[in-house]
Amino acid sequence: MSLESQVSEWRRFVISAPALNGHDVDELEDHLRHQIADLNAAGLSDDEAFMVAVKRMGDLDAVSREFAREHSDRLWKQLLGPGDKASAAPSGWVEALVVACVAAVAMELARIVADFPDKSPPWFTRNASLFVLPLLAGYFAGYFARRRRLWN
Amino acid sequence: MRVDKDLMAASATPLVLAILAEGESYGYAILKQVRGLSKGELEWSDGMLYPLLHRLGRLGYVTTDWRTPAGGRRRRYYAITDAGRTALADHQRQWAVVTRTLTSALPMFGDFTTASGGA
Repeated sequence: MSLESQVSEWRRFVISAPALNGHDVDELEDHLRHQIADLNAAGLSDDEAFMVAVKRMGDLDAVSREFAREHSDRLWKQLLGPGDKASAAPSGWVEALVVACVAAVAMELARIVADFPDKSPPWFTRNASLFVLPLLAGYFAGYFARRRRLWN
Repeated sequence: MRVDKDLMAASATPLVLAILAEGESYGYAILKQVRGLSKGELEWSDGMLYPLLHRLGRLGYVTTDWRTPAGGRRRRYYAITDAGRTALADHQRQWAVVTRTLTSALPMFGDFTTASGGA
């Protein structure tokens, strides 16, 4: 892979970081290219120079956090996280649907077991909540854990 | 020698301001000067310099503008302001107090401002 395509790939990766705008990435790219040129001059190959320059740039998450701290006006972007925002809503619905189905099956099971064998004490019916509540609790625990993660 | 993170963060602002007090500059050149001045003993993550420079801009310590040098790429330059020079002088006084105090508190190290690596 040529140095140019490596740099543009790096740029595509960096621009996906929350809290970094195009100007920031221009500035970081200028820095990266300088560093690569200096390392080239010191005798490193394009590949080696690129690797060292990227490593020296540091952890992108940490750098992005620093940018976010400085540019709090861009903080809302952090809430979306580095992933694709479009995927968040559907996965939430799918999860809710799965929980609902499992809960329905659990209730149905409890009813069947309670009716059979005949005249057995309706222990399962009386304790249906025992089967359903953990599922709901699990769903909401997951839901709030996700929300918390977004805010941190 | 590895310099503690907090110490590095505390010294970054006066160091950058001091470099800019010598004349306007841009990110990569500033970082090279830090490496040179510390003889490679202060190793920053390069990327961290930029949020710092932007903070100095927000505080009014530096001004910034994009220019394209002849035959080069468009680049962002930083220049120190009067407020920046005042802040630098203040930092200098604070660091003088800290180094003076440490030097008298740690007599076994002698003048620790000249101590190197091994300590």
